[in-house]
Amino acid sequence: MKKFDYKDDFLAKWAGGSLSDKEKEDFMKTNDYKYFKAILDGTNQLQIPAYDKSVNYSSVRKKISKEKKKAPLLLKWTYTVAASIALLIGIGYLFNQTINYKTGYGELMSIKLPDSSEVILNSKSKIEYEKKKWKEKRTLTLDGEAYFKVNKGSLFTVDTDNGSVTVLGTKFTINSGPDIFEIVCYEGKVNVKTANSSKIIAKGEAMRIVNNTIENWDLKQHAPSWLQNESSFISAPLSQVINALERQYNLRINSESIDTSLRFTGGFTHYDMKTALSIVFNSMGIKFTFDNERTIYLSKK
Amino acid sequence: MEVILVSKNIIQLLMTRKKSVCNDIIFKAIFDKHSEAIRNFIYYKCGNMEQAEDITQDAYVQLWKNCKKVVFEKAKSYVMKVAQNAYYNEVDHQKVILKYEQSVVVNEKNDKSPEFLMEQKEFIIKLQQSIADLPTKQREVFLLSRKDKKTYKEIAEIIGLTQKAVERRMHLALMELREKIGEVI
Repeated sequence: MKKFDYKDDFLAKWAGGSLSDKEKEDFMKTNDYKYFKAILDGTNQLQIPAYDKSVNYSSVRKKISKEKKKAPLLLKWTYTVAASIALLIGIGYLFNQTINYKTGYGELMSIKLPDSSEVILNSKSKIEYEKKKWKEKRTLTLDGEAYFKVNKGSLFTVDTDNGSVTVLGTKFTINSGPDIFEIVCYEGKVNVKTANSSKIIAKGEAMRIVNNTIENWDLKQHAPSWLQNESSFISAPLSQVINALERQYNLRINSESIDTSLRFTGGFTHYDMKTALSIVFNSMGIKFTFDNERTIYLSKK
Repeated sequence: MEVILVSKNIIQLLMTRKKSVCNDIIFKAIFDKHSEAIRNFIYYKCGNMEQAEDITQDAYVQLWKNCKKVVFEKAKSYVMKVAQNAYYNEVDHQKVILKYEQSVVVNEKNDKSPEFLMEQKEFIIKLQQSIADLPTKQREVFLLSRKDKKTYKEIAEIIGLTQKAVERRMHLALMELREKIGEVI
């Protein structure tokens, strides 16, 4: 890349809108301009978690009234005891600090772990790890679906409610939920352990557990399709597809009156809810009706 | 004209003299006015929202306890200082990962092709990570400027630097982001 040889505050002046017209014009002609513009535009789309003023204010008030009450009543030795207890708790807290990342409906999040391995969380998913223990043992827990790019190094373990997956360094996804446990391996090898089985999955292979039976298949892609705004399935139980739709579009889907063990092969887009629902349910001969904006009822056609 | 101006100043002076921080209404007003900015500022440093809100609340508790010693004009910088000290003393640092809600983008740009949207999303994920990877000093300047819409002068007051130094950091932050993003577009 060509080095940018402007003054040391040039970009600040540009972003702050205080360049002269001439300077601005010249800058727009450069190769780098569109990248800097994209950085500012992209940053505008990122969001800071919402702030609730009144909740925070009442917390301040609570803390103030607590301090007032306790001060005159306590004896000196109680302070010592309290302080040492607080210290013990404090130390425990530091040693066991758990770090977690969560995504909401329709969100993706990219996370770099302390060893610079990468995790991309699909919507409505969560990972958690203990920061202090990370150096000795690369272990994290997952609830939901995530894509892992693990750097080479010591054993890397992902624990889920359905079983654990261990690797040394590779790329793979895990989808773990109440009715689903699915592992797809894009590079290297992974070892999948559940309560009653242990299995090695190699590059280009995938497995899932449905009703305690293991299913295997091969794949053609090099990365999960949900990174590209599409969810795709290969003869997956309909229940799994419904769950993915719910997660993606923040829906509650009532499937009481249909058979959810039917299998679905295909994909749906993340851009348009109506299209996604039609693709899945029309092809399966299922009618969907909206009870309200977020609730859908399924029935046979 | 001049007479009026002078008398206005005197009235103002008298009013501010009466403004003690030890007054529920004034205390709440200081909270409403500045607490969000302080919380964001600490968040840009540590990346943990719970901790950022906790530190901000505690800083206001300190302000209340010391309300007799702190004059109204200094209240904001006092809270900012206490919060910053707390951050340096107790915070264990995490990555600052801002959320990206794809649905918002999709609605706005329905006319764009799927390829475009895909590339854009990849770009945003990359940007998200690149901001998280910035050195703390650059990130706080970058986010205060771009997300809190603060001027470089205001940022300089918050972090206690000259405006020139803030502008240099902003420049470096943009250079760094540019480099991390590479040739994605």
